[in-house]
Amino acid sequence: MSGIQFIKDCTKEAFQGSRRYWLWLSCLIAVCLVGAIAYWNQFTNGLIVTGMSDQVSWGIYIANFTFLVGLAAAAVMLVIPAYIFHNQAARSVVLLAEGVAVAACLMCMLFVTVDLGQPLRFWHMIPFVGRLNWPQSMLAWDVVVLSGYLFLNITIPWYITYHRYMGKKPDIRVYFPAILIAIFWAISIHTVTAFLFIGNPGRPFWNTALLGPRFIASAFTAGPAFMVLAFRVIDRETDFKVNTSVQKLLALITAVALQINLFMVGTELFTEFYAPTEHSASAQFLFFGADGQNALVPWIWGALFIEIVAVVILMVHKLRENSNLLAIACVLAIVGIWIEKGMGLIIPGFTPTPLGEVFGYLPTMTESLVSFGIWAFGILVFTILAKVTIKIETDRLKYKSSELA
Amino acid sequence: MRQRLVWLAVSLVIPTVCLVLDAGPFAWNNDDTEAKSPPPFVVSKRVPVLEDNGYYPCSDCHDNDSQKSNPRMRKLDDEHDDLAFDHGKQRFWCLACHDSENRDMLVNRGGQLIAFDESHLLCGDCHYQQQTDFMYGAHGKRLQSWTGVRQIVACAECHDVHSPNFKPREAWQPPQARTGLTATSVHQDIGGVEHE
Amino acid sequence: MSEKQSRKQITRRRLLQVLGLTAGGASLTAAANKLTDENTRRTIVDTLGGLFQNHFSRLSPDEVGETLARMERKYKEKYKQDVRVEATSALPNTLFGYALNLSRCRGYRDCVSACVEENNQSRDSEIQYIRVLEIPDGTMNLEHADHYYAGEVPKPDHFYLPVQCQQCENPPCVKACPVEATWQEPDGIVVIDYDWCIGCRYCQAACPYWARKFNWNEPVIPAESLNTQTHYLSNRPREKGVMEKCTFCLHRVRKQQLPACQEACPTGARVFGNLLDPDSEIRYILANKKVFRLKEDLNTEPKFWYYAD
Repeated sequence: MSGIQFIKDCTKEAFQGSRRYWLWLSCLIAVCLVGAIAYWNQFTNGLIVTGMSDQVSWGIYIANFTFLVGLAAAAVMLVIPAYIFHNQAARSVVLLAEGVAVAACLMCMLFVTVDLGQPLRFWHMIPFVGRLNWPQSMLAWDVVVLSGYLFLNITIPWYITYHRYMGKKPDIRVYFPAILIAIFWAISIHTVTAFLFIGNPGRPFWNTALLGPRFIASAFTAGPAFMVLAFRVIDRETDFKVNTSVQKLLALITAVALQINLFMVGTELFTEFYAPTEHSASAQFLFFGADGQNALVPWIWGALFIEIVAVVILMVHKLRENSNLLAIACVLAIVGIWIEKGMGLIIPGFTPTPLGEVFGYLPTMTESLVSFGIWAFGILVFTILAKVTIKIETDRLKYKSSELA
Repeated sequence: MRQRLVWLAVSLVIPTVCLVLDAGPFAWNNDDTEAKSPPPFVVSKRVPVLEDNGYYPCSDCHDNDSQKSNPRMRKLDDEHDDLAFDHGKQRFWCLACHDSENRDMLVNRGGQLIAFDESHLLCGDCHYQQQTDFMYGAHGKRLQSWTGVRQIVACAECHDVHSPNFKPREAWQPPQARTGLTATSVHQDIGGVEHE
Repeated sequence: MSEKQSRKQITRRRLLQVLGLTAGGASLTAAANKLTDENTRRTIVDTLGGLFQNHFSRLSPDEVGETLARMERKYKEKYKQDVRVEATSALPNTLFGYALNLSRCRGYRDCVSACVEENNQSRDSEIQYIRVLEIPDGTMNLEHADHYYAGEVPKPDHFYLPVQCQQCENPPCVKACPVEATWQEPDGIVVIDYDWCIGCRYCQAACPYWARKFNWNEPVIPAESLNTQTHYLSNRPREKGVMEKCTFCLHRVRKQQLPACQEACPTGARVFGNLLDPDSEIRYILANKKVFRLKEDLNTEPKFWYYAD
């Protein structure tokens, strides 16, 4: 019974708050609805309403998916210090990081679903009932690891917050094995996503072993940077105070990961441009355009530029200490990574096509609205999870047996 | 004497060895496929087509009586003036392939008569590689089925024998991009998404 | 299919029934049977049947029969004419292969045109299985190819390279599909179950030959140009949101006919045949011509060869 009461109390908590909180929720719900309406258009008319084609058959949906798997995986950057190194500051916010993971996982799943031509046949992916092509298909692997990761990131915080709610101490022997699994799982979800691309020898732009490490490095840049920003908002908007040492730790992780990421981008650029082969055509298209198609050129140079600005701010101790500058650096890092491993990775993979054709891709209004809708949904989920978690963590939401009567 | 015997022995032994080698497993040019006779095939009939065109039998006009064969190379401006006549870059004359006596037959370089329905036997006089390919399947076009006795199109059905090269012609329409998008190729500088 | 595989499938079938999906579908169907008049009943039953249709290889012969009949009803409704949907299996001892003589191809695109008519591709979104590339002499770099050439062909100093599904022995698309909606038949042809495909387009990303095409919208085929002789795994009309591809005209070649592209080619550049028949034309070509295959470095083992003479 207390379990039901827990859900009830949490739901109640999620939908009560200040006017500002409600205004925020309303805005997010409004964007979600706009996205839903746009998706209805796509659902009824087919993917023809997107900018995708047989030439460029994945677009901004899969770009967002790729970015968000990284965001989901990056929760591990607080889980490790919190549970393995027993860092108390990290422990105070680790549930929020897992909230980010849950929201990101849900967004990933939504982005894949809206990319499907026959979304009603999703049940074909359920093992036994459907026919999951596991272990052959890397996409089947992705379905498995993403669902598993979502499950882990719901059950672990559930177990911990529920005990807190009941006024009991969670048993570390119960949840620690799950945490260990979740740590490996986090790395695996992003590695599998990288393999999804790497495993296509017909797409030389993706067919590089470095893509795996690059995905991890860029995830550990964008994820912690996103958490710096989220914690900054929570710190300002709620009475929950985030320990500054957490922000310092996250900033440091972002700084190191971004340097590693830029180094790997540099080695890729060397490979592509020092002795260009036929396989460099995609990179050529990305950085300099090809056959009159150069929509991505300003974006990728812009992304590299802002990543370099971000890395300078993050590397110089004085600049990083300034919380406003840190926030700017984090925004730049996130946007830079989003471009570089989103559109900057997906579109050149398809350009030129395996038959050498260079074909343009621009997301349509429908695609953009659906994407915004999914982002709004993810932020909505995170907001609600954060609100409830904070209430429980600060012991203000507790089980009252009297309420049952 | 002894020297002569040695020479005799050598002159006998060497050809024998060569023969054995050539027939045996050490054969230098032991091409199985070439050696195998071609799988059975039927070539599409030409005579009915020619009859439909009103050209056959040739002996209707060329009866070697009122119409004597004229071996002189000349421009045809009375009959058959519609023939593009550039087979072999004008090296040939009608009688290179058509028999001057039996006008309903073709004739090869060796003087053997060949029916109009078996023109592939004639063309191979010069185009021997194409003829081999034709008989085994790497040249020409098969009809009806990929299995069973091969039915193949006669040489003259695809090639105008008097001007055998295929003529350039209009290609079927270029591919279109997906509805709502415009195509862009390497040589064109257009494209991208049309936004409504 | 091996015995082990089929047994595995039967076990899965059992499990599926235990899970109640089939049972649920059957009870819904039974309910619909009682409730409504003949026509409405048919529609409801057919819609449910379509929504919960099982994977093609898991259908029993009876279920295949029902499925084909349901499809024929659906197409009759849509195109107002009788469409025949078959499900002939592969012929014994056949492995289909294709060879194309580049010296003969003149870029007319007659094969493309015949293919579209034969295989009921959407005329609206212009799906084509064959791309003929116009490449300048002296290179094999496909990036120098023109896909959109028009007018009189052949152009001087150019050659033509038609590309379609290469029916790889080691097909990356089959490996990629997350739901086994695409597989290789015993005669070597890679097919798609259009009613199982979820439309994720991962196979399209995996294919190194750009052979797979997607139905971006509801396909449009004018009823008068519909080819009514169809096969479940090949040219039956598709719906939006699923992949399709060249099947070497599986519905024709399993009746010992030739593929439509071979039949349409006016120069005899295309040679189709059974790779297991030592007397076949294609075997002669493989043995006697200098052949090559596209992108052999990718280890896909295409069953589509090019040669020149």
